[in-house]
Amino acid sequence: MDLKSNKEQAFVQLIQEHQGIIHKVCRLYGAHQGDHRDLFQEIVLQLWRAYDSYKGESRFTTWMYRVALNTAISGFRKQSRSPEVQLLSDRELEIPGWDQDNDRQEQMKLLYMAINRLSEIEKAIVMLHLEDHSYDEIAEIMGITRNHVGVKLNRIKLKLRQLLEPHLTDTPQTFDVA
Amino acid sequence: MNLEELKYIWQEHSDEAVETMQVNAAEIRAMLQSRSKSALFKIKRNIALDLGAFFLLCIAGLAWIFTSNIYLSPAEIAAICLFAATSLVFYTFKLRALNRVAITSDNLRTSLSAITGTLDNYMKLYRLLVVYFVPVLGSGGVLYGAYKAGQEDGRTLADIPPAVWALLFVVMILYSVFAVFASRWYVHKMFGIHYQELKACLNELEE
Repeated sequence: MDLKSNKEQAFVQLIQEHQGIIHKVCRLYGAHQGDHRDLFQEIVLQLWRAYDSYKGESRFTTWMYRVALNTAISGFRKQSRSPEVQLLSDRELEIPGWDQDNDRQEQMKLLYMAINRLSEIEKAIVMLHLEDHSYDEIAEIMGITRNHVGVKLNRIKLKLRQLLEPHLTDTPQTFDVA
Repeated sequence: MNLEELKYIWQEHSDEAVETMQVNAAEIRAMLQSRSKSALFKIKRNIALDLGAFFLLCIAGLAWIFTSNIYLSPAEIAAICLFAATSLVFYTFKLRALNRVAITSDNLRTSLSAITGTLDNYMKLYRLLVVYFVPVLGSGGVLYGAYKAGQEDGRTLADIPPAVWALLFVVMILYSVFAVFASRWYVHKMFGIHYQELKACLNELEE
């Protein structure tokens, strides 16, 4: 097997292993089913083109997030830019309350609905935070300072609270995002 | 419900959802051979199509000149060649400028900054050339057409009555206004919307 095939083999293996990262980015930035598929393919292509530039200075997953988010935000034009395009219908959003007994999938849909109403940059930051990345890693991927990450996350938390609270009608619990 | 619980819901559910979307090695290999569907690729493809149409127009023009009895002076042939060469350089410049706009593995802010910078320069030159060059060239064409038509009847520009000059002037103004608006609309539709979205993202990162 030649050098190129070996490289391709190693790359495909890495993508297979970490494809969850790409799918998660696609779920946020590719609202339509077609967008999701196209974006996934575009990210894989860009990762392949940039593969030679990966020198192992950061974790492979951090590098993947950088290329994936660059592709989703900078280089990919969705089929529709309508802000009304959501993963959910209004009916799906009619959740009577939100407590421990509620179906987790419904909660996840509500969370996606709220995140989808954030800006492209806020989506990226909150996704990295929910994926348990440290402030330093988020700062490295986004190209901003650690303090700036903290400030942005506080604003995002407030926005999420405003977006989610109207749907928590029946249960008087608070949405503590502090 | 606090953020830690949101994290738990996110991690538990998104990992489950991703499990159902798994792509196998053969599909990934096929993706490596596929064409890009990025916005930049689409813009470059449109420019390449423009270039192809321009070549066809040049060939059709040359065929018409050589097969008809039309006489062109050396100065006219030189002007046509200059126009064709300038257009070719312009297309090449556009493609080269867009080839520099590549998705990089830099951080998002650096990448956005590089892309918006290149797109900004590109649009400035595009406007300069298209918005101003096209009306000047069009007006010159109308004037030269009038001169040539008059020449066939043995008349010079001095013989053109003031009313016709006024009409030509109105046509040139209307054409220029149309060309400016059409070019601005085209530049905005092709690059401007995408540029504004990227610029908004960059501003948000920098604020």
